Amino acid sequence: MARRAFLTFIVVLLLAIGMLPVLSMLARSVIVDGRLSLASYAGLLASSRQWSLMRNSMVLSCLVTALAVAVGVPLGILLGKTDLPFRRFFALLFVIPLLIPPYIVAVSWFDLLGREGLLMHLVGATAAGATARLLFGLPGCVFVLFSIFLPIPMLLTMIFLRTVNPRLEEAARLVSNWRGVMKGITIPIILPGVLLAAMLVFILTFGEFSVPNFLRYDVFPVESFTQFSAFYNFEAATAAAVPLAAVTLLVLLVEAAFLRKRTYQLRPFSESERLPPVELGARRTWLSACVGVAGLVIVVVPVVVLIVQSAGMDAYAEAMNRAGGSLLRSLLYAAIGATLLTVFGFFTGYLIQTKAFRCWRSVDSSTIFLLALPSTVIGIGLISLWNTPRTNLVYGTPVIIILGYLAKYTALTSRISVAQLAQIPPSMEEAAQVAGAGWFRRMGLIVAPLARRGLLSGWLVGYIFSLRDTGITMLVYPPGHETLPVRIFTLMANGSPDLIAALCVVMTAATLLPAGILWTIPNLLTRKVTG
Amino acid sequence: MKIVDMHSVTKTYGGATALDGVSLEIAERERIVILGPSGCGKTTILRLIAGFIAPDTGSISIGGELVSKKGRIIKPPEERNLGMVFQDLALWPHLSVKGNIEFGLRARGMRKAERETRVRTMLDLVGMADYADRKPAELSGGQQQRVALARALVLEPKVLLMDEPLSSLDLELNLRLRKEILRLQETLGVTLLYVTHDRDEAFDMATRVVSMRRGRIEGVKTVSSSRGETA
Amino acid sequence: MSPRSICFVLSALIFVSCSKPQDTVVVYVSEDQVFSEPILRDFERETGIEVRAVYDTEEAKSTGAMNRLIAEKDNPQADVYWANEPIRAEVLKQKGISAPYVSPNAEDIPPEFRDPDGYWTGFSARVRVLVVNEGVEDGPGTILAYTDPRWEGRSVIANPLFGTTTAEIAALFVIWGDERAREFMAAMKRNRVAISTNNGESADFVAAGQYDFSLVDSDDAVNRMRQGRPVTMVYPDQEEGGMGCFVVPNAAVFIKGSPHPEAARRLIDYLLSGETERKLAFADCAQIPLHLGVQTPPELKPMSEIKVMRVDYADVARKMVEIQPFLKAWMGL
Repeated sequence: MARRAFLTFIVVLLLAIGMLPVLSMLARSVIVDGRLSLASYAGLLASSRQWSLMRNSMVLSCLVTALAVAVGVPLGILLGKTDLPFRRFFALLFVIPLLIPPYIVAVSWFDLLGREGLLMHLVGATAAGATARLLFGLPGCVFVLFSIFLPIPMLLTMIFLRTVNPRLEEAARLVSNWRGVMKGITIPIILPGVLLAAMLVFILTFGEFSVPNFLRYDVFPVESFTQFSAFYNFEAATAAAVPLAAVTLLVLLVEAAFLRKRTYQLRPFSESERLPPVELGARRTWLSACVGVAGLVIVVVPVVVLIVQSAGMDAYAEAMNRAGGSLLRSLLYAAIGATLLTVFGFFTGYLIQTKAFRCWRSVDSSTIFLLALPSTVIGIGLISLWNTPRTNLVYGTPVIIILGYLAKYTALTSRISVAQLAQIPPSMEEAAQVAGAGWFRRMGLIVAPLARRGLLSGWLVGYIFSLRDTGITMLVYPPGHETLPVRIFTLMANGSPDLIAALCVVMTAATLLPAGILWTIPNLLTRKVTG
Repeated sequence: MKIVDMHSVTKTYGGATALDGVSLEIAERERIVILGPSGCGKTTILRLIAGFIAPDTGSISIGGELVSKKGRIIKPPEERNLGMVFQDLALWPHLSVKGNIEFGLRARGMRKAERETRVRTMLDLVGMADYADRKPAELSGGQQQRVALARALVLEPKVLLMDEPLSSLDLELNLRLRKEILRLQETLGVTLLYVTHDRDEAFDMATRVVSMRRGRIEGVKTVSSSRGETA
Repeated sequence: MSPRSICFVLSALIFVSCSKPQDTVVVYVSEDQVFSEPILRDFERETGIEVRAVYDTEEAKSTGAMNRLIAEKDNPQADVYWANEPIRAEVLKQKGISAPYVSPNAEDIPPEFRDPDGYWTGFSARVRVLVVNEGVEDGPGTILAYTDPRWEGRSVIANPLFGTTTAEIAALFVIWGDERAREFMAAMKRNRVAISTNNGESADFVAAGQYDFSLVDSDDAVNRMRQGRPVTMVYPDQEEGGMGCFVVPNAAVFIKGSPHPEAARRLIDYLLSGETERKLAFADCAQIPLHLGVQTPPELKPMSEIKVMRVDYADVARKMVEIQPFLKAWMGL
């Protein structure tokens, strides 16, 4: 009973926090002057330009997804499975672009490759002109978004690799080298994780507006954005966002169809029986060099450009003066957001994994749907729902920011929990039940500790996405409570480049520090178990 | 002739000693059963011979060739020509019965026609010909066991390693499969290294029983009685 | 994590953020934060009233303050809106979100830069100017240069769907009438004008010699000049009988139902003071004071020496909404 009541509570909360604001927006988009009307939609469908924008969005998302998966999965295997030198460092390195608001990454590349960029001073105007032309348009967009979202397939591959029963790989090792084992056994088994990564990259790219806008590649979200920023027409803007949601649901269906027969209940395994890392032998050095060069190009260069731009302590002093408070707030909100996201994600994940309610599939789809919707739609929805004199305690305080995080990002932690919980046999919980433990006790003492790795990864992902959020925070933050990325965003208009760069460096450091600390914790836990 | 030769092998895991100076020689076509309580190091012996881990000290030879030595794996598992049946069977959940058996043949780059024949023969041998396209999850425990056996034997290994393969089965099935394993061993002429904690099972399967306790070999007993009696 | 700890975290969060002092003013700001924040901090220092601000940016990156003001209409959180152009202030008036307040400091501000009913009051203005590359001989002196074959493929303009560019085009529609304005836009397109994402970028293109000139805000031009880039600033259409240049003042708006009306009035008075105008003139935003006699930096002409385009901002605001479909079509959207 406790289980049913509590899960119902979670679902209701999720509906209230995430779906209700969005539903109220959708309702507004079909009601014009008090009557049901599809006028907002009719205009949208009539324009042929919309279709070509949709095609652009599709092309961009498919290319970024394909590239990120094609590089991210092998990279994840190299970093998570082999004795590649500096693999831990590399893993941290490649995550960096994901931590920075995408717009900033694009700006950094512009600072380097633009017509007035650093590169021009190095190689002369002609060559720089060529790179600038490449940066603007589809190739530049694909590259920048690829570098930002590469960590998603990489990290998910690493996480899922750890959940593969090592016996399955050993059985294959008896007859095949590691290449064959990876190709024939390991990768097919982690396919759900790879698909999840592909879906996330696709959805995140599809909803991304700031980078394509900056790099001059017209994509679908521009329509919704224009309606908001130039017309203040919430109804039309929401209508324009609906096709985005439709595409997301389509992706979701494809994923479900793929995975229906492909989820394996793998048995848990003792960590002490883990296989040692795959020895790369003679290729170790040059593979490491390759990864290093890739990291240099994808990560180090834009970060160094930021650091070069920010050279001098003055910029940092100014940055701390301007943004010291917002930095602390960011860390606090992101930590709270991540914690609640982990809790929420854990229980929704549990609900989805155990199919506790018949509506489990809709819960799953709802969270993904919210992830895909433009932040502005959720933000305006949150305002219209919560901004009443009676709910000022929510709207007038940072609670509203946290609600925004929960509304937007629960899909991430929920999916991670599903993946982790799938590895825990139901017998674990059943055994505790037989022993007379109530549901909360079972969750707290059995399931959650078994899923700790997933919980930690979830927390980390929740933290990263909460910390870098600008879309929702921008719209709902209580006056005077802005977060660091919002501050960077608003200072960017005519702020001096060195100040912006310094703030971006501070932001990156702020994310890396806790992420770096947490990164080591799963290994501490592991050691405790083995020792 | 000695097919496996372990020479004073020691293996520790993070301070805990799993094997302490163990030496073991196995002759061709012999059936060795390692008997001992859980945690005595018997599985570690299999994993060392398979090449998943390297010994801390000592050396291991297979077929007269040095394969592992003092912290170093000289020959990786796939070059040792061994078959292994795991305690949890470790059937690959995403592959069919046929796919499971075929995997090793593919890895050897065998042509399709020959693969087909070999898989067919193996399936017939274990009586699973009708189940070639099933996924492991769709099979009963005994059937899964047979698939695991077929997979381990299809490459005609010199040595078959078995890690408590029957421990999860009911007694009747357990007894039946013991006979089948012995029959296959006889037919294929493979050397058997079998690990169990069950005394009865050990003496039923072995030509020689090696008793282990706390990482050391306590005693070796040659089983004289023919297996016909137990059957 | 149990429900109890969730409650704990939530209540801690509420506690942290509930220490609101009494003397507070909430302001939503569309003027760039870099320039507006120092002014607001000075106000805090001088009056002891705490300023809680929500910042926004004009450029096509965010949809913050205005959307919030509109969405919050039924339960206003803001006291003051500092708009960086009067069009948004007009939109707020038309949507019934602002309330009238005539500041005593508004007296000296010319009437064309404030709402007759006091719904908004202009201060510190940007002027729409031509930024011209120094290497260009006999450069343009009118925005009609955009349609002059002499400059075919040599001009650039910011995306007309956003910001001050939209406003100026709407102003042209008001002054010229639809037909002539549409013809101008068509001719501009035929003359192969390039489109940039924002005015700053236009100015950079011109500074780099990529294009010869662009219509931008005066601060964009002044900034490039102060950086020593090879550009000059031309006030267009100043000749006898010319239409003058479009002026974009900041606007202070009093929000209807303001939670802190007293502090709100004090902030508006402060924004409309000559001292604030002087600071904004010498800051990097280089905005031209509207009060007579306020000191201006050397790069800028005082407002009294500039021929200003005579146009009603309320008409411009209405026109902006009206011509959006046209502009989208013009952009090929």
